Formats: sequence, structure tokens, C-alpha cells
Amino acid sequence: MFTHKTRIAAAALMGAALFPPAAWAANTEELQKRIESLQRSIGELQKQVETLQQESNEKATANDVEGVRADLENYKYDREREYERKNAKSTRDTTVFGTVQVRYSAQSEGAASGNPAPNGERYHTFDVPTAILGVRGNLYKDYVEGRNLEYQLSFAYAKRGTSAHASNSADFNLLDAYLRYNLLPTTDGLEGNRLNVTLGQQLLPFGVEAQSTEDLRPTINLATAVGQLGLATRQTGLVFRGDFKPFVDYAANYRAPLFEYAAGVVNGSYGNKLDNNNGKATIVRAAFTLPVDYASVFRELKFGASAYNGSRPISNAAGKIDSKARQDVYGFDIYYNHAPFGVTYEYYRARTGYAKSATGADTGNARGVGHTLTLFYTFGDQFFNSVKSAAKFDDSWPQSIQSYYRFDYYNPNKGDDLYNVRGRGFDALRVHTLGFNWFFAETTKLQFGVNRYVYDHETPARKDYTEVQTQFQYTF
Amino acid sequence: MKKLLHTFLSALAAAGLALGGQTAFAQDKPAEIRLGVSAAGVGGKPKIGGTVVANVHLRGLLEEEFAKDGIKIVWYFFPGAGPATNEAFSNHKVDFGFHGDLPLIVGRSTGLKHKIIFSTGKGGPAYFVVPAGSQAKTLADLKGKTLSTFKGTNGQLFLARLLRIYGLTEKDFRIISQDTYAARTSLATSDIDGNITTPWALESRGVAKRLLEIYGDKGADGKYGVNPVTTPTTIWVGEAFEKKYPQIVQRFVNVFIKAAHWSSEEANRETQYKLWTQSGNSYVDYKNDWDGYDLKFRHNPLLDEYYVARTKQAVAEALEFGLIRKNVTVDDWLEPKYLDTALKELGLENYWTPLDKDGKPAR
Repeated sequence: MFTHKTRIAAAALMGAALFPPAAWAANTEELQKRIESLQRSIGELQKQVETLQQESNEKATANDVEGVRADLENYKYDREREYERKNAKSTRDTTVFGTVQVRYSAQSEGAASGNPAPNGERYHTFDVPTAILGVRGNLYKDYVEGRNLEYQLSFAYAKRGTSAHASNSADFNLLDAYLRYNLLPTTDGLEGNRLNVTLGQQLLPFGVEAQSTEDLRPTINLATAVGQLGLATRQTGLVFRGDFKPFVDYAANYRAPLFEYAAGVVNGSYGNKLDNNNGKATIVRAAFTLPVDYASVFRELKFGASAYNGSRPISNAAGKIDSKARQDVYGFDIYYNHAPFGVTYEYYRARTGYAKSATGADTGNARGVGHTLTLFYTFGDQFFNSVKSAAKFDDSWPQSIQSYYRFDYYNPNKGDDLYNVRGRGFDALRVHTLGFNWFFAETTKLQFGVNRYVYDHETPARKDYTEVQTQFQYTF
Repeated sequence: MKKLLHTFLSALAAAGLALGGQTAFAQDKPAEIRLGVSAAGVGGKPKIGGTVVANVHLRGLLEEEFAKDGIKIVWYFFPGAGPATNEAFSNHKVDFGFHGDLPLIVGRSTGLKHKIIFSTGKGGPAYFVVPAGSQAKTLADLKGKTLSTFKGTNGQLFLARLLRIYGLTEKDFRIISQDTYAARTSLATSDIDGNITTPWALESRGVAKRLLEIYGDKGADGKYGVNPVTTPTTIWVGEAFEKKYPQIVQRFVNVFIKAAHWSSEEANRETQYKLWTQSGNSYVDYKNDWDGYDLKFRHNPLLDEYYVARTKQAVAEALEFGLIRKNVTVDDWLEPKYLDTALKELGLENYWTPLDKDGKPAR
């Protein structure tokens, strides 16, 4: 029997005999190549295995699907429970909205009005001048053409003021209560004409400021003419509003209706009342906007004219002396908004019937005239739709400061130029206002204004004065 | 009163400077570079996908380049798409813009002063999508029905071109305007009868289906080429900014061209798809829209003969369809020097294949 060592030695001798040194080298080279080839193959196989493993990891397993299903069921259950127990519901599409103003004001002359007696003079006060709560939505949604039937209902708080029984309570008066139907399609893009009809209690389409809602008015106080003539007071009736021949600049999706119009009939007795006589008031407005591109310096330059013709009963100590005294207002306005700057100018001319004496039956017409000029300059991006609507994760909003100067003049007795004559209102008043609106959140602004009131006829009880107002206004 | 007035004006001026100062320029470099992107992610998310612009944003490349100079990069993603970018540029709110062809052309026709500095790629496929329950077999079956497009954006021209291919015009339908995501919702609820959009996520939910698919002709490599409906996209710079900061413009372009190279590499295909899903669009949307294409073709930044010819054609179409009132000349609108320099500095002169006016490889 050969030992193990003997067998190895014999094999080595045979190998040496069969493969001389030169052949060994060639064979080694070939083997080396084979090894490298095998290594490459193994590498590729390893890659394939890794890819397969990766793909296998990316594929969902039955357990994964079960997990997702369980999560989905939990989500559905949770959502349903929240909806049942914690969500406000409505039969129709409803958006709740509101506007609140919280103000501090100070003035150089003392005042006592606005509260039930007894009152001492005050020079400064905190106030909540506006608190509005409302809902709006649609009653019928036309998905194809957008001829939607919409509604709005809102209430505004009002102080009880000097009412004898006033306590610390306030009223919550009906503000808007209307239905609006879009007679023309609203889904046809920017080129389409628009026409809607509104029935109910609503703002009148007069001028620029009078038809602005409370949250959009740029100054803290209304223009004197608008306030004294009741143009911003809601009225009840039927009003058509529309436009035609819009100029469209697709560069910025800018739409400038060449002509805007409104026409309607209302009671003429202001809000929350039946008609106080048998004469309805008519309101007509037409406006023309320059048909220029968005990039033009003349974009958003609009000229408008408005006419309100109504009547009202007037009385004196002797009782009612005329049930249809005139109450007409005509206006012309220019609106130019080329952010960052803007200008608005409104001219008012009014004719208001009044009793000429305390007991007689003679009546006359007070002729009022007013001008309101407002100049704006805005620092910041609040009024650029692009920046304002840019995609964002957080609640960031372009902060802006809109500074303005307003000159406001109204004389309700231009013909007679008298002070506080019965039925003719007060005398001419000039108000200079310098202020700013600081938009620091999406729907909240801090407003500041310095008003200088100058009367044509100063009296001991009615002196020129300066007022400083600061208020926060938020909407939701 | 005078003292009060003086105090008030001083406070206002200080506040104005504080707010206005955000866009103030230093002497030799801007305080910030503002880029208007004519798109946004799902639900108004400030991230997009499907373009080199997304890759530059999501990888923070501009921020990295300009951090050493203290220059802030401001990205505006506009859900209002191209028209919003034009509006922002009209009001001096952006320095650079990313646009499709129609809003770019319409903006130029109304006097916006900018220079086209490079393309962000050639157009991909187009799909005409209808609600899942639609009985239509051809576009002609939808005559008189409601189609939607995002008017004022390049989608409006896509639709016009598609209709023309099939011998139809916008007048054969009722066309309404909707943004991309509103249109997808309306397809799902069958409130519209058709729209050009990416179909994959809608199809996987079973709410919509493709009526037509438009791809470009396949080349020798078996990959799709230029599309008769879609067009190249563009980056421009405002003329005033370009004149004031040419060095900054060059660095900006370099960043994008370097990113276009990264984006064109096959090794980065999957990485991009995954990056882009941050926009809220699904992975399958990108995979199906991009898999049949060579990345070098889709991310081609060259202002080649095809880019010029296609832009001129778009101008002619915009005039024909009444979307612009004034003609736009293209040759004097291009400023290729920054692109040329970037290609040279990065050694990429021969990396992308220029296309001739018909979209065929020019070399």
C-alpha cells in the first residue's frame, strides 16, 4: 500500500513530466483568465440578485396590503365619526364669513354723543364699530355653464346709542339678504360677458366706495357724502349687474370689461323697512375701462357715472307735508389702480327735499355737492395676484403697507351755504386724512389714520378738530 | 399737527424702506435672485416635477452656488402658471422666469422686456383624456361637448394643435378655462368631456381614460422624438437684471446647464422620478411619461434650429388664434451667449445633439 506522501510525490513527478515549465506558464495565464471571467460572472450574478432583492423589497406583500387596508379603515372610521359629531353641517354649500373692527380713537375736541345720557365729555375711546357675521353659498350649481343661483345672508351689530331704554345691549340687524342668479354663463373664461340679477337687501351699485363691502374699504371712515346721503346703506329691491366686451390680456390673465353696467329698482327707504311711499327709487350705473394690456401704464383706469333717483316722505311739526320729496344723487368717478400706486376720485351731486319751516307746508330742495379724492401708494406685494397666490407651505403672506391721503369735501347746502338748517343737513365739511393700512396677515390689517375736520361755519359747539384712529380689522 | 405729520411720514418711510428693501440691490450683486416658476405642485405645493427646474430646486443647487455671496434665492411657484409669472414680472417681482411657449409669447407681445437664455427641454407626450364613462371613440365624437384648457398657458396651444391635426377647431366645442388640477377633478366627476393632461394617476383610480396619445416619431435609437403638439420650455432673464448683473446671470446659467447634464444621465433617471414625486404627482405619472424618451433629448437645453422654428411657429399660431394682437420677433429675443459660455466652461459643447428645424438630429 502506498502512503499518502508517496501518492503526492508520484503525482508531482507525473505533473512535471507531462507539463514542462513553459506549458505551466501558458496554463496559469489561461486559468487566470478563466478565474477573472468567473469573477465577472459572479459579480453580474450578484448585481442581478441585488436588483431582484431590491425589486422584491419594493413590491407590496400581502401583509403590506393588509396594513394599508387597516389604516384606510381607521381613517374612514375616524373621518365619519368627526363628521357626525364635530362638523357644522348645512343643507347647501355654505361659507361662514365675518368682519370685525376693533378701534381706539382720540380727538382734540370733546364729544358726548353716541351713548345714552348721562354722559361726560370724552376725548378718546375704545370701540367696536363693526361686527358682521354672515353666510354665503349657492342654492343651485350649474356645472356646465356656471349659471349658478347664489345667496348671501349677513347681520351686523349696532349699538343702541341714545335710545332711552339702552343698556349694555346691542342690536344685530339684517345687513344682506339676497338671492343672485347668473343669467349668463360664468365658466366660459375671461372673454365671456357677465350678467346677474340680485333680489333682496343689498348694497347699491353707486360709484366706487359706496358699493365696496366693509372689509374692502381702504379708509377707516366713509366719505362724508356717502355717509350723509346713505349711499352705503343696504336697500331692498331688484338690481341687474353685468358687463360686456371684456378686453382680455392673456399675458397676465387680465380682464378689463370695456363696459360695466347696473340698473335696478329699490324701495328707496333704506334697509330693514317696507317702502315708505309708492315711489320706487331707481339706480343706474355705467362704467368704461380702458382696453389696454396689463403691462400698460393705463391698466385698471376706469371712468364711471351713477344716478340714483328716489323720493321720500318729509314732515315737520305739522305732520307729513310731502310723501314724495326728491332724493336724487348723481355721481361721477375715476378709478385708477396701477399697483403700487392708485387714485380714486368721486364727485357727488345731490338733490334732497326738505320742509322749509317748522310748521308750514312749503318744501324745497337742498342741493349738495361733494368731492372725494384718495391717493394710494403701497409698499409690499399685497395687491399682486401672482405673489399673493404663490404656492407655499406655511401661512406666509406678503406683508404690505398701503399709505394714503384723502381729501373729502361735502356741502349738503351748496345753494344756501347755511349751517344746520332744518332738513338740509349740516354745513360744508372738509376732511383731510393721512393714513396707512398695514396688511400683516392674509385677512387682517392694522389701520391708522389722522383726520383733520374743518367746517365752513365753526360754532362753539362745533369746532374744527383733529382725530387719530387706530383699528384692527379682521375678516374670516 | 405738523409734528404729528412729520412723525407719521418718518414712520411710514421707515416701514416702506423695510418692506421695499427686500428687493433692493446692492452695488455689485443683487440681494436676492427671484425665479418665477409657472407651475406648482398638487394642491398648491411649492414643489414641481418633470423638469430640470425641479432638479435644481429640489437639490438646492442655486442656493449652494450663491450662498457664499450671501445672495438669497427666492422661488415663486405660481399655481396661476404662465400668466402669473408675467404678472409678477410686469410688477418687477421676478428676475428670471420659467415659461411654456404661449404665455412667454403673449407676455413679449404686450411689451415685457426679457431675453431667452436657454431651454429647459423638449416637449414630451400629450394625452387627450376623457371621463371613464365616456362613449367617445374619436375627438369628433365630442363635437359640441365641453372641453377644458388652462387659457393663457401653453396648454391652450397644445389643444389648438391637437384639434387641428384632427381637422377640428375650438369652435367645434365649448371650451372652458380650468387649471390643471381643477381639470383633473372635473374629469373624475365627468363635469367636462375632455382635457389634455397626464392620465396615469386618473386611470389607476378608474375615473378617466385616454382617448388619444400623441408621441413624437421614433428615432434610430427607438426613442421618441419631437412632438407635434407639445413644445420646448424656456428660461428667460429680465433685460434690466441681465444688463446689471451679467456675471450673476452666467453663474445662474452654469448651475442649470450642469443640472441639465446630471438630469440627462441615464444613471439618474430613477432618482429624478423619485425626486419629482415631492410635487404630489405620482411616480407612475413620471415613469410612463419619460421612460420612452432619451433623457438627453428631453433635457436638451440648446437654443437650436428646432427651438427657434417651434417658437416662431407658436407665434404664428398665437396670432392666428387671436391670442396676441402684436407680432413677436424671435431672433432678437434670444441671448445664447450665457448658454454657449456654460457649455464651454463645463466641457459640454458636444453633449447634447442640436436638432434641425424639423426636429431631426442636426449632426
